[in-house]
Amino acid sequence: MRLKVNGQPVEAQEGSLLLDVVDVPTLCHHPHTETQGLCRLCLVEVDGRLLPACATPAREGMEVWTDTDALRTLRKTLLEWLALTTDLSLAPELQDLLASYGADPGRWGALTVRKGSAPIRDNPFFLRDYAKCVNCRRCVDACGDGIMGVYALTLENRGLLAHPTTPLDRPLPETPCVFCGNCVQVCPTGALRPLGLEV
Amino acid sequence: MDKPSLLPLLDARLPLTEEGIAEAARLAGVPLAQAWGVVRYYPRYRGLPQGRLLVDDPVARARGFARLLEGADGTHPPLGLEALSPIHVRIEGRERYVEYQGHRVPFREFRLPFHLGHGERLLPPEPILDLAAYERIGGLQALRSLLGGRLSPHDLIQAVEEAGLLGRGGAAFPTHIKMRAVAQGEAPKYLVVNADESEPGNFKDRFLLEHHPFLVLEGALLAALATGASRIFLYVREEFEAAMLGLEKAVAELKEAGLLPVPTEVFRSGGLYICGEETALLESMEGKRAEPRLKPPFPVEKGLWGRPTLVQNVETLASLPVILKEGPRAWRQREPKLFSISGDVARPGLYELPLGTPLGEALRRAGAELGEIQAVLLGGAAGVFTKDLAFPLRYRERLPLGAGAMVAFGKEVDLWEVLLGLAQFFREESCGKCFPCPLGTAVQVEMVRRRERSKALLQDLAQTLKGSLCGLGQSAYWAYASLLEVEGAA
Amino acid sequence: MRTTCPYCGVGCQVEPTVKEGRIVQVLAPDIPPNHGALCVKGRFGLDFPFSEKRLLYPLVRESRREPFRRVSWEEALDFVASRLLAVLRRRGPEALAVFPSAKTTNEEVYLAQKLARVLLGTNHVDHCSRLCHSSSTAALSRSLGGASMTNPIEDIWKTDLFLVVGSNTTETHPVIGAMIKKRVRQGARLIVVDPRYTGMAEAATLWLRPHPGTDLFLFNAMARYILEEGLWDQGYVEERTEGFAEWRASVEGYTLEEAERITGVKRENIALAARLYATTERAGAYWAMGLTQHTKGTATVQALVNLALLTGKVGKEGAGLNPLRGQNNVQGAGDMGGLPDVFPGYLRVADQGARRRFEGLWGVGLNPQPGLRMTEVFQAIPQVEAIYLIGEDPVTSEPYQDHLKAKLEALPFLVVQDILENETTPFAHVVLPAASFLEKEGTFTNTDRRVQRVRQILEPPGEARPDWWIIQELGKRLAQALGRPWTLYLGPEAIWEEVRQAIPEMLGGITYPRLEREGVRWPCPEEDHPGEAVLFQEGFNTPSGKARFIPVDFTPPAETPSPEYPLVLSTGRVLYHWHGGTLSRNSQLKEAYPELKVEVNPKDAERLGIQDGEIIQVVSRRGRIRARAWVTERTPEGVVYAPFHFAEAPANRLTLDALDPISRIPEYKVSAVRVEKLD
Repeated sequence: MRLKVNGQPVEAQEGSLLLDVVDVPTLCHHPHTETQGLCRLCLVEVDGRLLPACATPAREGMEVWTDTDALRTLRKTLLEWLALTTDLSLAPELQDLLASYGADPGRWGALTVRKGSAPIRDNPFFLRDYAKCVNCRRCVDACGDGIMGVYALTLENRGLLAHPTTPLDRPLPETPCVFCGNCVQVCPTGALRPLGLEV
Repeated sequence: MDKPSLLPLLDARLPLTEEGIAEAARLAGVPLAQAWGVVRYYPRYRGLPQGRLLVDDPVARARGFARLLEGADGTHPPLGLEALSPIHVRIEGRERYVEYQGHRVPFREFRLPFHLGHGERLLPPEPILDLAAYERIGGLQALRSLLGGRLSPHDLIQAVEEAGLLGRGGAAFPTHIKMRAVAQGEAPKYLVVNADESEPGNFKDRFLLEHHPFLVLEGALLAALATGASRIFLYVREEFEAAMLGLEKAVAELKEAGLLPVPTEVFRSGGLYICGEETALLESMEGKRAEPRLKPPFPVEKGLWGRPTLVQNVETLASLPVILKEGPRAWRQREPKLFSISGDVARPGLYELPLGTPLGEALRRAGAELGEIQAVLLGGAAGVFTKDLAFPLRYRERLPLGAGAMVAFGKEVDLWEVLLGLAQFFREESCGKCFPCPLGTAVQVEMVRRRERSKALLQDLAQTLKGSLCGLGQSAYWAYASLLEVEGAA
Repeated sequence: MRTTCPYCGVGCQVEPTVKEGRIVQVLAPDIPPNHGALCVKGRFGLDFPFSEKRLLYPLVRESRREPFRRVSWEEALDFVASRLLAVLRRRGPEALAVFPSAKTTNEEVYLAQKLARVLLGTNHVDHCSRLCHSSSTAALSRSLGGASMTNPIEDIWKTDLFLVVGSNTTETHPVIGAMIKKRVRQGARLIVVDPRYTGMAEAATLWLRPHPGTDLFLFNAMARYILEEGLWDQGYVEERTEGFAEWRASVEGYTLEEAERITGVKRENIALAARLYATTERAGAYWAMGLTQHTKGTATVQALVNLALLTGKVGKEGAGLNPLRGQNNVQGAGDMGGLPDVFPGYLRVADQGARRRFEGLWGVGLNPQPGLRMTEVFQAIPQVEAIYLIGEDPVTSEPYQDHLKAKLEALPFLVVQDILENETTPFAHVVLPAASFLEKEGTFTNTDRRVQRVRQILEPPGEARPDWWIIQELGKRLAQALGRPWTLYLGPEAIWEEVRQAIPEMLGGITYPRLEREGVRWPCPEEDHPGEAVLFQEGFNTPSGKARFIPVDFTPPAETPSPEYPLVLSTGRVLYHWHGGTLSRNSQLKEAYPELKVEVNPKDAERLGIQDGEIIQVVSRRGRIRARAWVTERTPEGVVYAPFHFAEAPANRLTLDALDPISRIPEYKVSAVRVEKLD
């Protein structure tokens, strides 16, 4: 099928998502998990509406705008807010995005909500460092519905204080965790990382 | 619904222990992880604030908030008590009281004073708390017509379409479109009455539930029969304990009288603003964290437990018997709408007014000195400040009507303090699922606190919040942006 | 760099990150079979090549009384060659056995069996499959003419009902287990047949808990019920099978009532399982050791095969008969002829045409007599005088350990070729240090017949060498002395080219360049052939092209509980460890599961006064071990479960060496034991 992206005709396969067709950044979406539509970095404009490219099927004749001023502002601001609240030092891809969008987190003043927490080392294989967590939920999904069906991870609290945790906040060895590390693999920010990298 | 829902199982085990949570999870057939995520989400499982609490609504913010706070142990989110504000509640363990006229009235006994209501069509002149009283004022006629075959489901939906009834919960979506979509869906189908009124400044649904439960129930039964829904769930804001008891009693009476053609039950809400968002509401009913779903699919296609579901606001449903009684055309001529008016007016309360009434006129009905009004917060937290007293109170106008709340502020009020209350409300109520909302509402609090007036910064804030997953985040900046406009106009 | 996980038969693709000679992180690419997912072993257990127990230099000694001497490769290989030749000259080929390893590459297995057959003239060639799926191989070969999963792993996404029998899939094939569970979340049904409450049982729509060793009765009863209710696939049976009438008569006595009495499973649940399996078009059977490791293992698998044929489940998408293979390359080891009765490609040693093919290829006359199987070879010591053992630790993995140790003591010459010191190395005369999977090139074939690349990421430590190099060098010496042909290959790819030439109908289309991006499944006769996903869609590999029903009857296990030994011991694995523990217990995994825990049902524990976590002794007629008790509902009353990974508390000291008459697999799943408090 054919659609238009930023005014240019583009060919797309039946059944593909807009994300397969357009070039936009994404954070919560991952090919191994079912997380989608959360980070809003991949929002595009279709008929004046903002739609997440990762959750929107491409349709014949669609006119998609991916790089309007409004969308650039949205992405830049979101990245700034993430940098403001979260330790992105182990998220090189986000750092590159921050640079390419000319982000300037300082313009919003100080807000250090997530940065305070200390890493949790409760198992022989990997650590959990929620100061670096952007709450994309890929890990929770990989552990649960998306891949493993193990459900050793869930979410604590609401709003900006929400972050992954274990059932009853127990150390991982006391949960159903099977240490497959699929959560570690899908973590985009180094909030979950193998102890092997920690020398 | 094949599985028992998690929330009632947890409620039955309050105060929660680890064993209790594990047992509830087992009975609900969900992983412990899901149950724990739920426990760490909803306030009543996390632990309610204790002591004497100031209800932090826009009116309290306008009446010397800092001083009011001195006499309290903390604050409580708005409770639909704006017409009585400033007001305190007291929480001791799990017992909750409203401090009203020098008494501690338990939540389960506290109803909004009946004299706050002013109307005739949606608000009969006396509380209708039993079936006989409801039938005396001509109630149940539409239901009996439908049950007797004198009115078909098709005709009913047709009438709703002719009336042009728009959803009264704030989104103003045409009711008949949703009804028709569900009617065409495959069984089993459900009706969920959204009685989770949590928008600051609004207390219309609370009033209807507390004083006119039969009107609401008749409307719900009509909608369920028209759409083929096999069960009705009344999703009631959990703090409205008296309303829940009243509804349960009314349901029992209808059942007793053989006038409950669709099984109906009360579901205690999760107790958060976001629970009023229809998909978050469904998530909480399914025993999950009340987080909005991506749409599509919409609830009319995939709602509760994946089935076609009509989610409809209380006032919308209460309008159905009225429409059928008056006839859609007559009804439409003077379309009744409930307005919750509070703040700096002489007679705060609930006013039934025809749509199109000018804002100033509405305020005057509530006893406002229009010359003394600095601005009005229209719609609620997801609303706007305005000075335009000529503004016609109608849907799809320049300003959003929301669910019809108006909070008037006199000349002396520090509107930034009111705005800070709204900003903090959004930050506290953001579910945290998508990125723009929890980040943006937190940033917004800091901006409002420092009285940031940079248009550029506000514009970027707005632009980004617009990208939120649901209406909560998408509207979180409206009041802020409108305040700068109001200031500019001054 | 991408390579293939060396643990189980799923064959996950892994990308280890190596820093300063250490693996610091393992990622999984988004390609088949695992599509980005891994289990704890692939993710955190690949560091065993760095263990202190690594064998680094060739070691030699004349007798077991002497200490080992470190020698050069020249000296070690000359020594091995001379001793093997001496045995060959004195006692003939029947006194020699070569055991290739299902953990080594296809190329290495091919070369090892070629060495045995071409140079030593012996068919005493076997590998550890004898101890795991030999029962499946036997039954599937007899009925269908092929011994592997009939359906690909991806068919999980097309399956509407899983019949999982005796497979603790979430622990032993975790990535497949996770896929099945996800498909169940999407709405498929899962019937689990297992005495233990495994992760699969937890996820099941219907869990049947038969007494250990009674599955055959259950399957026959299901078949009888399906016949009685007219739920069988008459068209399929008529068109695609033979032997139906005779078989039908054989299940007559297997009533639901009788099945309930024997298996302990409620009759209505047996009926429900039968009905669901029969009436779901896309119903796939999956099984593992719970079915095979019995003295009637072959018969039990056969009963399941019969059930699948009756309901028309073989040769269809989303269905089939799917034995989940254990070792990373156990499929390949069989494919490459690492078996006593077949050449590469499962061509029979006893078949003249097959012999001609390989005699032509290898340029030498071949022994027509099928060899002894591994379990039989050990029993044949000291008639068997020399064993060349590659990547295997029989002291830990074979049953009745004390008996086996005595046999090894009596073995005149043992060569152990391995990467790590294990429980068998003390019995060796020669120890040859091999390169690990990280240190060589080659291919593994996973459980669904997918040939995948193994790539060298590191240099071997010390003087360790790839197995293929060692075998080739040894072969060179033997060939010179015997005057027999022996090819010297440039490397694994050259060996693979010969394999392609040997069995073109199976592997002819699979080349190294083709494997660059992702693996390819056999049969794959041509380079433009995509590799066959679902086997037997047209016909079966039997002479008639039809699948064969074979009647099988229930017999009780070889050893049943007695007043003195009132409990049943079942052995197996846990998520964190691999077989003899040589790999996993020399990796990071040891921290997650450091010591043996024996599962004891709470009722038995109460009767015996045993607390959770208490140290107990498990005693059989053959020996006793000490372990920590794990009091849990996972194991049924009357059954204790012990993983066999722990050399210091070897479960196989307790097991008995009663063998299946056809597959010669030991009965690991049923031994009679008692549990004692330590004081």
